[in-house]
Amino acid sequence: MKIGITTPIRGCSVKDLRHLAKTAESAGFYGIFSPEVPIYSAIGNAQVMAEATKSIKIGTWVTNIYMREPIMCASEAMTVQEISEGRMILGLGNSHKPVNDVFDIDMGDQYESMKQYVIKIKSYADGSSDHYEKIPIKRDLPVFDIHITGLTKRTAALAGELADGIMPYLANLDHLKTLYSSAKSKAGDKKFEFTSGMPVFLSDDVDQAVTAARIGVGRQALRPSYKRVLTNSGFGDIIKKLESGISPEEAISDKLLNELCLFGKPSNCRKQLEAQFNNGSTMPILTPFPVGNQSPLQMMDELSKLLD
Amino acid sequence: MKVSVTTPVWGCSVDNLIGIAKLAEDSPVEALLSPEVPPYSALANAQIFAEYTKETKVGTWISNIYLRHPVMCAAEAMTIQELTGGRLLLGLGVSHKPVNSRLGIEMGDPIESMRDYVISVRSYLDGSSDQISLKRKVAPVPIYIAGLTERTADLAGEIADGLMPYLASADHLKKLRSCVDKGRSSGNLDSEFTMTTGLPSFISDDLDLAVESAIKGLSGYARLPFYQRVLKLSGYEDIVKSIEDGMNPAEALTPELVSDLALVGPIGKCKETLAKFAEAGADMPIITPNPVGKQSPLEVMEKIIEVIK
Repeated sequence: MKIGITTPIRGCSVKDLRHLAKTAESAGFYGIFSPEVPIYSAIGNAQVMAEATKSIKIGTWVTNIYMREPIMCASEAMTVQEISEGRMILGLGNSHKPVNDVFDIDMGDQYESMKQYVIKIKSYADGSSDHYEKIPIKRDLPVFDIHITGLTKRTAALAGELADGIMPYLANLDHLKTLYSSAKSKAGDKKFEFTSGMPVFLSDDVDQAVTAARIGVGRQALRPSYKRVLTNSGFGDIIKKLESGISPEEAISDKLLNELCLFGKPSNCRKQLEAQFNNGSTMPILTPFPVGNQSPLQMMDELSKLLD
Repeated sequence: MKVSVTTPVWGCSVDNLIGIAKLAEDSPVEALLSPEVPPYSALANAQIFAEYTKETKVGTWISNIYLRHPVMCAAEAMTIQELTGGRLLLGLGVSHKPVNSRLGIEMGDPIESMRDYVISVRSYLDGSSDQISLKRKVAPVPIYIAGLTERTADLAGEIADGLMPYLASADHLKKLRSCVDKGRSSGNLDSEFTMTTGLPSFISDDLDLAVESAIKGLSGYARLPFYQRVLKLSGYEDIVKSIEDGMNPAEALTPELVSDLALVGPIGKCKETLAKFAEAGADMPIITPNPVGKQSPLEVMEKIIEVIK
């Protein structure tokens, strides 16, 4: 049973990254991935984690395609691939319009941007790009896997067509099934990773965990792409409530939390995790959020209990 | 005199980078810097140096400003600065039009692009930008910029902490130094300014072979417009003119030119060239390694350390 985790979305110190990666490795997680919220680099973090570990998969969840030219994204991913001796998984996403607007980034056609980006990255990584005709420097490395975020049927199909895996987030089981089906229709029989990203709020103090979950999901829910995936997952009414100004504590329902998150005591979350596998997920990716004043290392301790 | 070294311009394996970093750490090398020729990332390489050194400064020579959004450049730089406890030196440049054009990059006005980029990166690094809600506290990162002309030297003086020319003669370096001083007086930075100069090296007791390697090694640079300009400004107009007229650079470059602008030949001769540039105002020469004959990256590094000692 492969379970991946991410480091904290809002970043942490290099010292903590190393500790988290080592702990995840010894706990038995399949992979550890870094989010990319500036002023942190997911690939820079992945490199730190690659240096600190020997066997766990290392990756990004997810790198914003607008932050680096594809050749630089490929170059940096190749370095992590070389350091980790083949353990790199490059997760790519478009980030969110409000985020990219802050940095004066014109996203253009998001679907086409992603398609072209993946095509280029693959050609730089496998050495087939015509760039190398002019600059004949090739790195003799096994190619790294590329996953792309896919919250809609169209992007899921793109993942199936071009990538090695799909990284949806905040999708319920029914919507995940739809996404996986779209990806599968293009991926055919090739090796393909169907991941499912879930926010996680773990604590023995269940009430506090529920509150943290409502606030945590509520903060993310109004990002345009997450609004869409939540709507596609049957929670359009909750989006409307949040848009009307109702607080997350009131608007986010128990049903939403039960379907999309892991929260409360780790021992009580295993059934939900099993449901992910039964639904076709080959690797749930768990994103830890603090409950109360939990530090990144305390969150990791709670995550590790899931594997006890 | 502080002397820094780069890793091979055309890249090398992670194992070699680690080996070179360890050699640098046990030597008088001030800073170990990585070039950036894709598919290698200067910042990723500098991060490797950071993992395997404790005292030697690490850095980029130089990161192409068009390949990363400034916030991502700052983010990656901050990770290295955090790893090293404050030993990062961030070198930024505009690369070259032929290189960027091949990648579909429109450079705009390179000087204005550089100005905006440096200002943005600095604002992310020091946390003064209102675009970021997450803050990281790391030691200030010195930013150096590549500059081959008087205008870029002036800009470096105004907004940066160092200048990184390459293939400039000692006389041209003096001119750049005076432009830096002028720019410094028009800006509002009070940090110590470091004048570097990039010196390609071809070190061997076999002088003829070293000269031959230097002519061959530098001929590729002589095709690039920015370097053609610095060669002209360094007094080699005739040679550049013959290249522009179609002569193969490997035939146009002379032993005199390469011996003037690079460390070529036996260690004693290279030491003399190094001293010449220090006298011309280089606070920190930066030596770029090139093999003579079949020297490996580690052997080349050992030769450079002999020159620095």
